[in-house]
Amino acid sequence: MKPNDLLDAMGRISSEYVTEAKPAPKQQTDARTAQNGVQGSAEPVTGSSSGASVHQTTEKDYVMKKNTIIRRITTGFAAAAACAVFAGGGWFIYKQAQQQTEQEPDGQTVSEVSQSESSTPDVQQISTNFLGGKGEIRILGNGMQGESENETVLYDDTRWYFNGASSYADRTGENAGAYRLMPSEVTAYYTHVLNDGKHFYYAEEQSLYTLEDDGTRSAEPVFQLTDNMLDPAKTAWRPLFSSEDTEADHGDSTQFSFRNIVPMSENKCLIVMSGPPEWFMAICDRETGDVQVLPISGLANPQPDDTICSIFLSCADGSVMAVLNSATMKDGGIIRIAPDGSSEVCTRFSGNTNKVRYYSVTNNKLYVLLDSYDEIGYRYEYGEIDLSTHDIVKNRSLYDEPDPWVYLAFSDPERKQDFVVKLFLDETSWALYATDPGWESMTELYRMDEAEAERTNCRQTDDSAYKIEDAWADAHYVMMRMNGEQFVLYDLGSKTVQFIRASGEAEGEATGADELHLDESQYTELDPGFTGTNFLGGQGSLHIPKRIGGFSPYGSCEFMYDETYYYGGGMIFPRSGNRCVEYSGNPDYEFDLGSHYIISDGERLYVTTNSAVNLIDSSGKLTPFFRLSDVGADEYEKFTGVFRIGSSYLFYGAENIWVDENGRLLNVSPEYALARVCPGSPDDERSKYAYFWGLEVGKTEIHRLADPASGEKTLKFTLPDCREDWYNEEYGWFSAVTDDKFLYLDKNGAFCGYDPDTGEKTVLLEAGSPDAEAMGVKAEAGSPDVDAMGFRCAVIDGKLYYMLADPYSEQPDHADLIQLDLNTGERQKLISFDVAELPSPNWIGRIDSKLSIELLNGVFAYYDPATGELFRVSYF
Amino acid sequence: MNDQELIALYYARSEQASAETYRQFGSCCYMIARNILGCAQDAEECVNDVLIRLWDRIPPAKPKNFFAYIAAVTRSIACNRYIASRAKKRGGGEVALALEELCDCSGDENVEQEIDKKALAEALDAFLGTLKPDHRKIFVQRYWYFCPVDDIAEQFGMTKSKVTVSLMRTREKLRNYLEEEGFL
Repeated sequence: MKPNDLLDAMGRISSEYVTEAKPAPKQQTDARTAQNGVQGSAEPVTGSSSGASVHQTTEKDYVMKKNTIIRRITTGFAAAAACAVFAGGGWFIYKQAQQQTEQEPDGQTVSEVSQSESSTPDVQQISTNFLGGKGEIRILGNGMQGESENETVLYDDTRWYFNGASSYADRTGENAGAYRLMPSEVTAYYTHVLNDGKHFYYAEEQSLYTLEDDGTRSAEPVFQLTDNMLDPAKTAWRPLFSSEDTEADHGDSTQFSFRNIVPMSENKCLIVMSGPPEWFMAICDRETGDVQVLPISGLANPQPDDTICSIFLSCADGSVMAVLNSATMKDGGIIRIAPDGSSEVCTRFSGNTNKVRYYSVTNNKLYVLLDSYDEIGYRYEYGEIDLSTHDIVKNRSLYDEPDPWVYLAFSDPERKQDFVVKLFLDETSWALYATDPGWESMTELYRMDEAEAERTNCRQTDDSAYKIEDAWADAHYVMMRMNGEQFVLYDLGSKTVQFIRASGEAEGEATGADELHLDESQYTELDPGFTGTNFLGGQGSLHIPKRIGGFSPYGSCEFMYDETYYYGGGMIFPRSGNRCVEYSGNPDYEFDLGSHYIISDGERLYVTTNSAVNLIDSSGKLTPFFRLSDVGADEYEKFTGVFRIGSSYLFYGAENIWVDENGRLLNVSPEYALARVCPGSPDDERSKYAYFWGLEVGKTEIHRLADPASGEKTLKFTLPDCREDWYNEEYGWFSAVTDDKFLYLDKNGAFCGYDPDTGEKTVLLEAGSPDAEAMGVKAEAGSPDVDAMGFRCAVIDGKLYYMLADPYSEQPDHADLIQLDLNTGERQKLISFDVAELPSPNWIGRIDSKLSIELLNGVFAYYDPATGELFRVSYF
Repeated sequence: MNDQELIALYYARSEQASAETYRQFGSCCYMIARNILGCAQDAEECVNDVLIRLWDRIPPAKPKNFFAYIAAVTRSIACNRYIASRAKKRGGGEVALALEELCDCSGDENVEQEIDKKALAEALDAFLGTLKPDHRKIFVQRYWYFCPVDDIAEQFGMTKSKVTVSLMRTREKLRNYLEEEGFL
């Protein structure tokens, strides 16, 4: 016996002993305990470096975290329901859960993006900027432009925006500080947007327009690249950068795209374009439209092969400093470009200098922080150069500096304030300082050390704890990126910090939304011709899935759509074409549903309100179907599903109420649990049968309920040789139904189909075969019971689908999706999954005509057996 | 709110069920998960998973002792996470220590023996019934909840060494008991 066996056995001891020994929760001083659950929420804490105010775990903390948890529950519920059970119709594709938050009603939608692409914005939305937030968009800078262009940090009155507007975080409110993805359309739009630190521009092909915060762009471009400008005879830049290898035609101006816009004097800016391997620079006058193509000269003996201009700095005198770095990490330099187009070399780098981490110009001195690499490793060097004499005033390796040493330096866009981040030699502590340009006089603003990290629950990276990767600032804020999607915001006014973090789920998941694979023919248009705003807030008639593929223990109509939204699991996803773009919270019902759901039988929608079950149309008009009291149900009865079987309707809840088409009670079957619903034709029969069995362990009697109105009676039958432990603490197995058979695992271990009308039992998967064993599941070690909600197989059009881990390996590394034709017995493997991405047991269910396969981390794989199409969705 | 009322909320599919569960049991679940995983963040995620698992399982499950049920679910999820984290050679908490201690009474690890887990659990249950309540609580806190010895000592107002001795003696008794029952 192994210690593990004992631990496992401990997990099964009497609940009496577990309860008896229940430890009292500690009122601990464990800072992580206190802070940990606040991922994705704002944490305003005093920017003291002492870390003295230890935040204790209290009930209040947990209450504060509740909403996050509930949201996840809802999400999980949606995912689970979407995966396994209701199978009502096509489902949406959506890849990021960080967006599963409540969007403010005025949040950016696709239509707004479209509007902002227009030159004539909607006046009513003037306060909504082109990023979807409110108010003026402001730019945090790091003093340089170019290298981090895609990582510009922006903010407005409502949000912070990161990484090229591909993500954002609310500045205030319940979700403040939660790092989320932007709608992909907005991010795509932003790829056209550049800024010069103050103004925004919209780039379209070779033209550049000014762009206002509300999305208005200038009617005429402020700059337009023409082939004429690229004529080598008129530009002297080419000999400087080109080599024999790159003496290619460059007359095709379509190769060039805008890289940077750097402000110079009042109206002038430097425009940088690249068309690999070539570069183009011009000075443009925004007022007059005059363009001066730059001959960059003065840099003697450049490395021509792949020299690039990577970062730029506006100087107070209107000149621009440009860093020429070599992609080969050798050589480079800094040139100064004056507003009149003349240029000079300020300094050259040699050896293995590969990156200018920071530089600034003050009082005619150039300050540079270089990131070098040599045989010893990475090191940082600091230099100070007199721009008049080009003399190097200071040059020292920061690697040898006393503790601490400058790791990062940055400035606000207007270069009014300089900052540095110093890294302490233990590499687990850093501090933010306000400084003078020469880094002689520094004032510590905030320090992150082990205690502070503990207090604020900062996540460590594997190789370096608490490190700052990048930083930006303006006159009010300093934003520092720690690692990945974790940011520290330092408020220069209040001297407090706030953390911005991802939710912590599925880090590194793919982002953005996929195309929705929607077969509209499998949906019922609820109210053809309806064009107004429907009761869910969208436009036009609701469309509901025709096809009932199982039953939903959670109830509700799991998927609907209209002209503007997809709806699923209590969430709204604005749609653009067949894409879903952003989660936006709960449907805004115009009436109080209480805790009830909207449920669908594939043809109609029902809601329970006013002590009655009502039909509801797209406009929200209610038509009573039956009163709860008339069917013997109390006012709290909650129906979680409805199925039309023939001309009768089965409402499934705590009690199963069966009514006719007029809502008159036909039967009540409270003592059984719904096992499966057999789908009928999506167009006429609706559901064919509902199968019930008792919840008691070992009960194998099945009731097949058919339509009493058509003369068919309920059929009771016992599955022959049925394995009784269909669900208990130790073991479970999972059934399925075809049009005429109930599928189950018999006591010999064979997976069988039983036709209750003929009494015929057919062995579908032989006992002892890995395939049959795949239909069962044992409780996980230490688990209180098997996962009874698991679905191990699904039937679509007479074919059974299930997952089978490699049966010939004790430690399988893959599992195959198997298709078994129930008529011909033909069996084939369809696709394989890495077992590392499959939970055990995994769920497999039907959505529309597709299979939904549960993967780990809230990801579901959708597979269309008809087309072989596979795509993945993440709900977290 | 008592257990039955709470379970009724789950059966009604009310989101209040999770909120109330979190309010009543969140801190205890967190503690169990933290003891096992040794990492605050993992523990918090584990508690979230527990709430989702409860939502998925109730109904049809109808636990008689809600606390024991949620604690068992938490332990199960946390142990699975622990195993996964160990596979990646990261994290880990009191479980490793507990396993080491249980070597005392688990016999020869190299002997391949098919253990009837159900029978072992029943035997363990019976063994616990023979212990004095305090010793049993200490044992369960250590090997079910994976509480650190320091915490147990604090809970019972004992010194750390007294808890350690109590655990050692109980393990010794357990070993004898398991031998008598034919498990070793």
